Amino acid sequence: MTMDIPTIFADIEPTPQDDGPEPVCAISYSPEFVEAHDYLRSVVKIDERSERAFDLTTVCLKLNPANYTVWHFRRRCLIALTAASHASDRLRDANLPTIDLASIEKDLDFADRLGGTNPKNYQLWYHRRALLECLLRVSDGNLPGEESSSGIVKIARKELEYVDKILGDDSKNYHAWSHRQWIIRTVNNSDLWVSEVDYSHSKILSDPRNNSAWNQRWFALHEGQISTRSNSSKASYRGKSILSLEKANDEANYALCGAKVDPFNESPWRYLISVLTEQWRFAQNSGDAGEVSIVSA
Amino acid sequence: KGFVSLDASHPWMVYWILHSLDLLGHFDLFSSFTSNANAKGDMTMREVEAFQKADLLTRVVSTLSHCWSGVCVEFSSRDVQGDDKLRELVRSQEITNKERNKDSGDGTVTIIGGGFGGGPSQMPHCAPTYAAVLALSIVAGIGLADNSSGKVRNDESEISTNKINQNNRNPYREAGELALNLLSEKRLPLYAFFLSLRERQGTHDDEEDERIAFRMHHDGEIDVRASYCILAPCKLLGLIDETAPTSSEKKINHAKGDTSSIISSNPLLAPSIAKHISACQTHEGGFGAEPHNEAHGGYTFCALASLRILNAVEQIDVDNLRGWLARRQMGYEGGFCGRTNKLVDGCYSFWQGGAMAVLDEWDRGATEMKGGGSEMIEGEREKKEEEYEEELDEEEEWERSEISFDEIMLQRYILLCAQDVNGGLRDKPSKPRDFYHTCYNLSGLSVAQHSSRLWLADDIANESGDDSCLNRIFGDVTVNIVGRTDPVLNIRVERVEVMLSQHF
Repeated sequence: MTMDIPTIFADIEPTPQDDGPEPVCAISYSPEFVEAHDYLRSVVKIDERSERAFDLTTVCLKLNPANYTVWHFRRRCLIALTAASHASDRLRDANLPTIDLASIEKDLDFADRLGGTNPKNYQLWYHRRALLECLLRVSDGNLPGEESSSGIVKIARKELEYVDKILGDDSKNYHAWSHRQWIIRTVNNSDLWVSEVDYSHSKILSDPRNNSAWNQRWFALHEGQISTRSNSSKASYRGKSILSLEKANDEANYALCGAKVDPFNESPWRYLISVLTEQWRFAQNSGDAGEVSIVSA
Repeated sequence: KGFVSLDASHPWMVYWILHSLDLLGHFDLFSSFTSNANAKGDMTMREVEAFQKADLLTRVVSTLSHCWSGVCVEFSSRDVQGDDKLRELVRSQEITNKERNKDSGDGTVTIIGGGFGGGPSQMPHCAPTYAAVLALSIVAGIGLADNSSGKVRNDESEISTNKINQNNRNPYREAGELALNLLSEKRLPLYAFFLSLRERQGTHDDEEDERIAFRMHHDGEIDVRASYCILAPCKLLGLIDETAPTSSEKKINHAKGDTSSIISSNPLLAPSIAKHISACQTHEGGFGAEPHNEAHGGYTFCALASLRILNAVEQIDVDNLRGWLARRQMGYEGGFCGRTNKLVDGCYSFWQGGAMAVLDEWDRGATEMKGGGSEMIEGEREKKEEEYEEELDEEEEWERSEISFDEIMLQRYILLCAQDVNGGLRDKPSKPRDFYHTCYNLSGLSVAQHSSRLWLADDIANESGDDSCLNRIFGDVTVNIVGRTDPVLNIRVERVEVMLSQHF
């Protein structure tokens, strides 16, 4: 999309970048870069959160997707544009800034396209989180009871599919795995916790040396509370949830199977040691001699 | 064209390059550790060069000052009343703008805070703020160095460092003062900005379980880097020292019969902050960006260095961390990797190697974190000197090496694999050089050469035969030595010393 910026912003005076006299590390910008950012600075200064301002952020972000200031201003535009067009809607009662569904979908798509060449860009991943937070809020507020929960889960699954796509290119992308954890933790749906254990397993199968997948398995089992000890005062060690003895046994065997595939792979051994250590410490801490003896066996 | 992607990281570029140059002794007039080039040569030439470099440092300060942005932040009146720094800030701003700081009746006060952004007109952000404060500290440290620190290694008649002519003038002094003035001016607004980035974590209503994390910027991501990017500058700017009890606190203590304890009213020292950082430790032993994220070298360094600044290292599973760190050094390559089953990368020379050095420092019982290495008990230094005077064979020396990783292998990786033949350093062979990797490879090299040593190396082995002030060195000790970096703050220990001795 080419934007004839000087014409569209004919009423605005551009603001050149003020680096001061003789700056160090001066970057050699292209003329189009300078033009876009000179006008953006002016627009931000007067805080014009309009359609044309929003389009200008698109131009700037394509030139430098790491400009967190522009991302923030873009979100402010989205919120302002939504507020303007939904002035009479229920949405405004929510008292929290929100963005309409269509815009969210479009921007998730925009972030995806920019992300192609920038899978390690912090701002892109945060933008997805910010958009999804709005989406989850809207889905929660608009739909009643059962429907709302399934609506949220549907959104979550769609986003998890997106992350899976990214992991297809780089199976250890740190942001991607972290994003998965955020989605699952935030939505906190038991089906999603269970399916994440399965997802970790599938990733481990395709590459047993993928330590991120092993870490995800630990996360899903412990934080999902599907196989942890009940929430009594004795149930945690240092405030963290602990696997039930039965599950710990299963996981220890799982890890040993992983280790058999390649005994020189650290991931399953580390996993095994962590499972045992956790049980051992819990047993000692709980003072239950029976527990201790089972663990040592 | 390639640097456009760093347009939101100007202060980073400045810091990476400045710190690299400083480690290479570029600003030392009578360098005790670099090659002979600096020490010998015509005095007039050196004078000219020094003034050119001083001009560069002045430009650095100016560039960074143009990356500063103010931002309005809101506090409850109660929080302001309980915080002497916020009260001072309100007072100072009231003089210039009475309207803005009026208590708005609903119990909130608006303060003009601020921070450094990635470039002019960019929002304040923790990462460029960290880079800018460090870079400015380096300039201040260079310009305001105490004339008694550092000695000349040859037998010329000039006896002090950085005095270049009869007038005993440090050519970097002006730039140093500019840097320090900028830091003094921005110190309290920075503090207000940092506090405004706090975010309560978890859903626990239990106060004891409260965890507080920091965002990287307003409407930005939360991760453990932010804690470090905030605490490190605070340490350098004297914002993290234990504050003296207020008079009402003293009264309460007296009533309880307790005249000795100091209650810290500094919100940065709140236990909930250390709690969040600790929660980022995983079952593997390292730390992730957020709780339950995979253990990763960069975040591990940030977490550990933060805890060290807060004097809260004992809250984590130290043994598990040490094991994880040790396993990150690659047996074959000698460098470090960032996570289990991932590849070696030169930048982890510092993130992991430095983290190990921080842990070693803590382990040796250094009580309070200060710059320049461990604090020593009286008489200990003499005892250590005696020990080092003994002749040791190589194996014995390796066994009593106080550093917890193989420093020779790390140096070897950095010097033989991470260097680009045209200058600069890199991730690994076949990757291109860049300033980030140059900075962190050199920082890692510094840690490998100096850490665990009890004092600053001020004379190199070849003259007196005394190499006790360095770890085992790979290669030619007369050309390979770089400056000594502080493993927590990652600027040279001499610069830290200048900053910590300031009374803001």
